[in-house]
Amino acid sequence: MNVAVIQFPGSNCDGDALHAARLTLDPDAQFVWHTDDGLPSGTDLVFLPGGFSYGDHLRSGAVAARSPIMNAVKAHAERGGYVLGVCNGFQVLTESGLLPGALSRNTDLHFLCRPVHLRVETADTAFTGAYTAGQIIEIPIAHGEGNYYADPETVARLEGDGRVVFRYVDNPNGSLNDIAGILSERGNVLGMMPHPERAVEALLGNEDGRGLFESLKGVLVK
Amino acid sequence: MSPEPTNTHQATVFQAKVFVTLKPSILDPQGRTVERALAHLGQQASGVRVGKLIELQLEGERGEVETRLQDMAVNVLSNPVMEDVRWELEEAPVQGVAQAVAGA
Repeated sequence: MNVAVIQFPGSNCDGDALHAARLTLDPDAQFVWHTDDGLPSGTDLVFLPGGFSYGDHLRSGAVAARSPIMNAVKAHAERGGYVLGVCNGFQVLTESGLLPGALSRNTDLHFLCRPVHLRVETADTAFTGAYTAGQIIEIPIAHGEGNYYADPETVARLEGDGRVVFRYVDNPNGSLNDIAGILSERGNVLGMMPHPERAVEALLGNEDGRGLFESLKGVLVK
Repeated sequence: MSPEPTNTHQATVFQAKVFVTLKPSILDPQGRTVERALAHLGQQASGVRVGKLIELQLEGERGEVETRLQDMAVNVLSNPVMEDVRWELEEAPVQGVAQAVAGA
């Protein structure tokens, strides 16, 4: 299995993303620079990491979503390839149109950096097969703009299609319907504000995020 | 070979102002904070919303510049999911700018 971690100027969870990917999925996972116009051949999973790409200028994720590598990421997603966007990566996915909605300022305007509880809403996805539906997991958040918004029709469609994958138990940021993570229509693109890659080792005090990577492993290694 | 006339379609420099505001349906926590701060100062104001002004200069013929500006405003400078956008386009006061620079 081949994992590519995209690096934008201002990404700061790229190292964590690469470490988690190497630990759980692909010992040879590699970085791909944002100005590249292609992904390494055979890429199975694109990981868009957290951070402040392009200094969050204009809107968080807006400039990164229009960088050269994103054309290749879109083509990869259109082919059915897996894409995981965490935190700023989620913002990049909504800005690029790969996921619906947008992420706006947390309602209390604070940058929130702490562990939160999430409910895994469905185990019937490539990203959550190793969990059970309804399971509560603890995953860290670290964001100032994680307040998920979409028009009512879009939210209803996400809910109706079972594409709300993770929900906050105690909503920290004002997200509609306590949404923490959503899936694309085809189920191959996941965006989430919490950081599963920061919770993959007992050494770091939390392994609750590991299930997400184990789920992908189950799907990708056949 | 006689030289082509070069000034029949002379490009004009335009000054554009793009105003980006959160849609009315979107909660603006920043505006609410400003509103409360104003109230603390004894300045009563309601409906405070914080938006963005983006200024840019564009060169070309008016019709073509308007098309480009609309494309930029709608597809890059604003996010239609949560923001409204409008813009103004005026011929840039080139003379004035030159004088200002000269006088600086």
